[in-house]
Amino acid sequence: MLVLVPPSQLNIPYQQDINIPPGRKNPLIATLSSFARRSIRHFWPLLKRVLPIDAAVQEPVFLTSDLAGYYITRFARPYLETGVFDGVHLPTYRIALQILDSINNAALAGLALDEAENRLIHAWGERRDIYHTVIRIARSYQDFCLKRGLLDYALQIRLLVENLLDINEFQEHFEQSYNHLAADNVEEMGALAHDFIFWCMEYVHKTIIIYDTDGGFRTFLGADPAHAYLLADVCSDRAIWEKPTSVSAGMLSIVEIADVLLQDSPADTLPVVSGRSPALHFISTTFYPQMIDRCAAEIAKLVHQKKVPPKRIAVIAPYLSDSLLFALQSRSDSAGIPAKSCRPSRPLILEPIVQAVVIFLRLYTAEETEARPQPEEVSFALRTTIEGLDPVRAALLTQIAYRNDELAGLEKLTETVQTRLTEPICQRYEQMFSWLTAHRTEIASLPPDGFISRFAEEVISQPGFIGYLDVSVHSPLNSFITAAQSFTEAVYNGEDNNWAGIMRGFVRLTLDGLISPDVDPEPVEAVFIGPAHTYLTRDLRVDYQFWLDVGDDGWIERIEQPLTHPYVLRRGFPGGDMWTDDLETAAQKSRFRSLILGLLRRCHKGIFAAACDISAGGYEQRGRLAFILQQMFDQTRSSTP
Amino acid sequence: MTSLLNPLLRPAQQEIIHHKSGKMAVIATPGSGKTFTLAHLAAQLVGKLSAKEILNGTEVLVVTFSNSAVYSLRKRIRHILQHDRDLLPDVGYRIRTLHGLAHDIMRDRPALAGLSDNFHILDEQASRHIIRELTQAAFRSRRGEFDPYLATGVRENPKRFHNVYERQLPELAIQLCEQFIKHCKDHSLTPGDLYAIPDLSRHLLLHFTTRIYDEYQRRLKFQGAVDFDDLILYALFILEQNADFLKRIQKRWPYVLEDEAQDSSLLQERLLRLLSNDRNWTRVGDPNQAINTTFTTAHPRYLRSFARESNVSLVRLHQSGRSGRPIADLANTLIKWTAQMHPTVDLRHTFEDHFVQPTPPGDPQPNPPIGETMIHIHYQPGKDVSPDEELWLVASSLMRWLPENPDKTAAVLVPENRHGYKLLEVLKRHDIPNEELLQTTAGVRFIAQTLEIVLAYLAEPINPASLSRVYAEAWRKRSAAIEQNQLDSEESDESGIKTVEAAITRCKYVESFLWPADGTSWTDALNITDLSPVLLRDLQNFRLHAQRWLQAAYLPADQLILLIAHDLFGNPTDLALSYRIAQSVRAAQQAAASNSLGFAVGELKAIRENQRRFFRTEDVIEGYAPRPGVVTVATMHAAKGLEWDRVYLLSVNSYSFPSAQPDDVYIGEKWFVRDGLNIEAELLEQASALQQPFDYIEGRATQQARLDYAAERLRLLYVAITRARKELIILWNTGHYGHQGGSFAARPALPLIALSEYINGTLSFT
Repeated sequence: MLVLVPPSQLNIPYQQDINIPPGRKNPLIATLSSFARRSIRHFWPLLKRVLPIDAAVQEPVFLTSDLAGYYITRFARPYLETGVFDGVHLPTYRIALQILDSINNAALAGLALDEAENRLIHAWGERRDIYHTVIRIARSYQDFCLKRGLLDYALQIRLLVENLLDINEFQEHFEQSYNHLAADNVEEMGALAHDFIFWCMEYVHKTIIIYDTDGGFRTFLGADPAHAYLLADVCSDRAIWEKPTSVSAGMLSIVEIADVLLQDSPADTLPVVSGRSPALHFISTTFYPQMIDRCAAEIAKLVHQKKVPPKRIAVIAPYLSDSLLFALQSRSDSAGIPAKSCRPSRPLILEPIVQAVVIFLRLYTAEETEARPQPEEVSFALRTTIEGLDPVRAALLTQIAYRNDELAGLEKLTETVQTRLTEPICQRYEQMFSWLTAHRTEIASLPPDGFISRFAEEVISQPGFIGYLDVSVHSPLNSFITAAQSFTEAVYNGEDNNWAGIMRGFVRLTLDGLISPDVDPEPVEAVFIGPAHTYLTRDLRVDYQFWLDVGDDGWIERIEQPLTHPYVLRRGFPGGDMWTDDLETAAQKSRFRSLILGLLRRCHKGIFAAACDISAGGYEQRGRLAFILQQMFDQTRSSTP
Repeated sequence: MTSLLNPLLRPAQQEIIHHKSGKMAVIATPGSGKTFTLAHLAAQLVGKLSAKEILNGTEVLVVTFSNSAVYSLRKRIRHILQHDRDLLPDVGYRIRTLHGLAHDIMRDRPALAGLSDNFHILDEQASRHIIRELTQAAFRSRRGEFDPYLATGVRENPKRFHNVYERQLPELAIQLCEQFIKHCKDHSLTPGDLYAIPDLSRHLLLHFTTRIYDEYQRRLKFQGAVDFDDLILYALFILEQNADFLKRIQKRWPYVLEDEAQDSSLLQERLLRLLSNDRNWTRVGDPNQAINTTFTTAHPRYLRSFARESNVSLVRLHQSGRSGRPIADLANTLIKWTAQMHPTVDLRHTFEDHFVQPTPPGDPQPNPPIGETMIHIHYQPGKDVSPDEELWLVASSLMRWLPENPDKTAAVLVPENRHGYKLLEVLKRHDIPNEELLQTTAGVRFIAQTLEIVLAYLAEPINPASLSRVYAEAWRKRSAAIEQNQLDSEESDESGIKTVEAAITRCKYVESFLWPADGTSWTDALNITDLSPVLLRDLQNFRLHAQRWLQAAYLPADQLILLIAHDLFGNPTDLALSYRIAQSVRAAQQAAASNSLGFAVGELKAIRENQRRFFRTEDVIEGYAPRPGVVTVATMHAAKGLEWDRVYLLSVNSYSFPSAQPDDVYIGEKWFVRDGLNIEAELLEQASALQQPFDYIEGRATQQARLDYAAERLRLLYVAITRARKELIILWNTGHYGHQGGSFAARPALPLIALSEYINGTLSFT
């Protein structure tokens, strides 16, 4: 059996809950791209025969999004000099990432790059040169990658659907491997995935297709809910689950009112709800920090007094900034409540242990023109890796041992300093220093992942170092090593062994924040803190949701990028049409409606809507959500007996 | 229908509120209730919107000049909607400054301007940082481009020359670039437009500043950021270029109300004209109170010409109950004297003939009785007053007056912030209760200083003196609510605290106090005995906090500041201020691409030293309300919209209020620049001349700048006079260099002499 899910953690319930009787074959739970990678690997020789891939390429290399970003930046950079992007106010890497988004969206919709170009030019009604250049860059990048067997997300899914499905050997293999297909959350997939499902249906005995109405939370990533609903037309049986059983009456009434209020043309009168307890609570403050404090206090009350498990609570904001996250997390910590932020694209460089390793790597790889680590940074790296080294001693050690951009051994430290540092610390420092001195030349002789894993294993994980007792550093370290490995595979040309150069490139990419963990963190027993769309794309459900900053316009705005367009690059959008403001308004409204209803339907007991008069940026808050919530609040309050 | 019968509204005000549709100009004298009327008009229009329209986002748009005006208007409109009209207080309207409005428009469709949805706005500080950095770097290699503008005498004195080249000229260059970039954006000029000027490189200064402008824009682009001026420019651009988007926005705001329209700029007028679509646009202001025009495109002429448009209804609000009759007469005299007798003929058109009239009998806002009104102008021909004497005169007057008038309000208004800071020191010395409306306030300075002390230590954790300062000046002065009682109970143990402070300073090895090695105790490290148990507990608590801050020192500066602020400050206002300071420091770090703690310390220092602008957060929320018994110290600019029973006006001399006379000295003219040129004005004139069909003639812009500045200062004096309800005292001083005598000393301002003559009965008009 093949279980097809959209890319996110929506596969977790299947992995956890499917019980296969002994002796039976496990189902394959896959996303379109993971299925594509598996198939491409298997049928690589056949693909090589039909595609312009260099004969020397033995195995395909699957590019992570970070690496795809790395490559496309190389192709975009020469065009930046020409001034063609002068009307776009974005840094280079963002221009590159948006071109990549266009490539991915076109692939997900099954559109050729020519068609994507045509659509983008007509949709904006201007910027012809810009979109022409965008697609030109996209083409050069894709040709380069395909030739070298470097397959990014778009190429992976295109090769599967546009090439493999037509190959007899693949068809036979598929027919023999799968009898059943289950496709869940198809509204979160692109049209190309739906094509694949249509194709599969020819080969399997039975198919079950599951979707949420009012879904499509991954639209900005190429999901096409309207196209997904066409799949229902080819199904012989249909079943509808309307109301969840575990939701309180209060929440149901809120959903009912919201449903009316959020319609395109809301009715003049709202539905009358009676005899239900209100599930909507308002937290209103003047200043932003007060709002955070009040929410933290309400969460503490729920956890400590009402005994609500932390994982049944979610704190949701339109965007999750670093400072908001920090403010929330530190208040949760002091209340003794575990809280976990969920930001899918948080760069690895923000993890202290990765930051520390990168500082050490910079010590030995920085070129003359590049800045060497500052003493402040070296001090941080030392205390992050050496167990028991406090910040004051770390500063002392750095002051004495880090001179002229080089670390020195214990012999440079006077006896007094060594006494101040304490014996165990001196021993640990010497151990690390000796290792670095002995192995620094290996940066030039080992691939980056090899060097970093040796450092992790032979130093960081040893007794006296942070990784020995604190297992929480292992996950970011492993992600970092995996990223280094992917980077190496992707950029190594198999000829010269310029490992130091490759390491430098990897370090630069990490410092630029372009390296992210390859997998989302596992859900834990903690309060969820995250942006609204992350909550929705993971299909989470909790008892209580805290909506932060409901006056912020970010709740209403859709993600808008000047160099790509998820709606125009949908299959159903009429090519050659302009993207008018009416369409934009309709898209905004529909996104807002599905976001709010999506959140409400994923909450069982109550919503705490928190607003502050003055936003973090000092602006007065006038968002539409606040007004709608006020209407909902008045309605539910007036209907309470 | 409540407003129709509202007894608080005068007939002219009723007329405004009954205005059905179309364009309207309201010209109002000080204290005539223009903001009050505007609030009623807004509430009336909100009442006309249906629930469905509101649900669809339709709003009455109110645009005003400053953040504090936004909040005071909001407070009024909320009150009227809630209490007079029984409507929801927070919906159906939006009050914005021009920047806030542009931000809303941009946030709606950023991609239309080529921006991502997560574009960020560089605040004034961060923007200045970038300009400063770029200018300093360019100046080092291209300082010769300024040579042609140096006065001849500068090179003769090597010490002086060094000082000019190393300090004063670079600062001037930075100031020039800031103003130039602003000017270009106000006039929608891109670096590309400037590069297209033939022979640009021949115009050295223009070429220099154009390059900085270009590099600055590239830097913003690299950061995916826009500055405040870009916001307006881009908002205008996307509205002008996208007809259907404009239509939607016009539908969203069917009524546009504009307060303080005399300060409207070229871009503001263009934007609001576009939004209002020549339909329902009401502009309220007083051209005689235009005080923000220097080197901006703001000018009262826009309001004046709007009022003259054929399809605009003009309503004048003359009657004002604010000031006693003699004070209103004095303000009217300033207008008449300027129009008829000002020695500089070009300044005679500074004011409109629009005089303050008293309110009629039975008016809800009667003028204070003449018997309670007093005017004193401290001027005796031939008798000089030094700045210190002037401050002492005010302080001693207040010391007498305050105890006799405990229920009255008083303010001292100064032309510039720096005068205010000096006055505050004097008031503090004499224990005169005061609060300030200056660029930064004592609250901001205290918070910035406290944070600076802590961060300075974190940047250098092995320094015991630095840690001792954290203990004495941050920890012991903390206001976190939990600790306050404890702090109070320890007040008596001053000597114990001093002992601890000294012991930390003496502590040779900080680590042995904060993280003692196994088998040792932290108390041994300080080597102190006989400490009270309460102080000992507090010291232990301090240690734990210091450890926590040190461990968090790797966090980005904004997060670190928030963490520390939470430990040190208790009340929400202080925390909100800390939040804003944290954001400001972070923005500056990003602008300078520096994450170091040392940089953050420098930023906090700049805030403490009043180099950064921070408002009193509580005033932004509620609008400032003077308190009886507490003297307000404010700039004359900040006093706009406010009133006090007694008002002192300081430094009304020829330097702060020049009259375009040959021997006047101007703030914009530097001693080291040749021929008394106002180099800033000359540069902007060059830029305009090369764009338009007129020739640049050196010195003409300087002359015009003098006239513009003198006119604006006359209007500022008018605004300052009309802040007084019952008592007005005007003083002058000989200025900072007054002790040197001769041409260095400032003289009494000409309008001060004229008003003094009027009071003495020796001035008469034709």
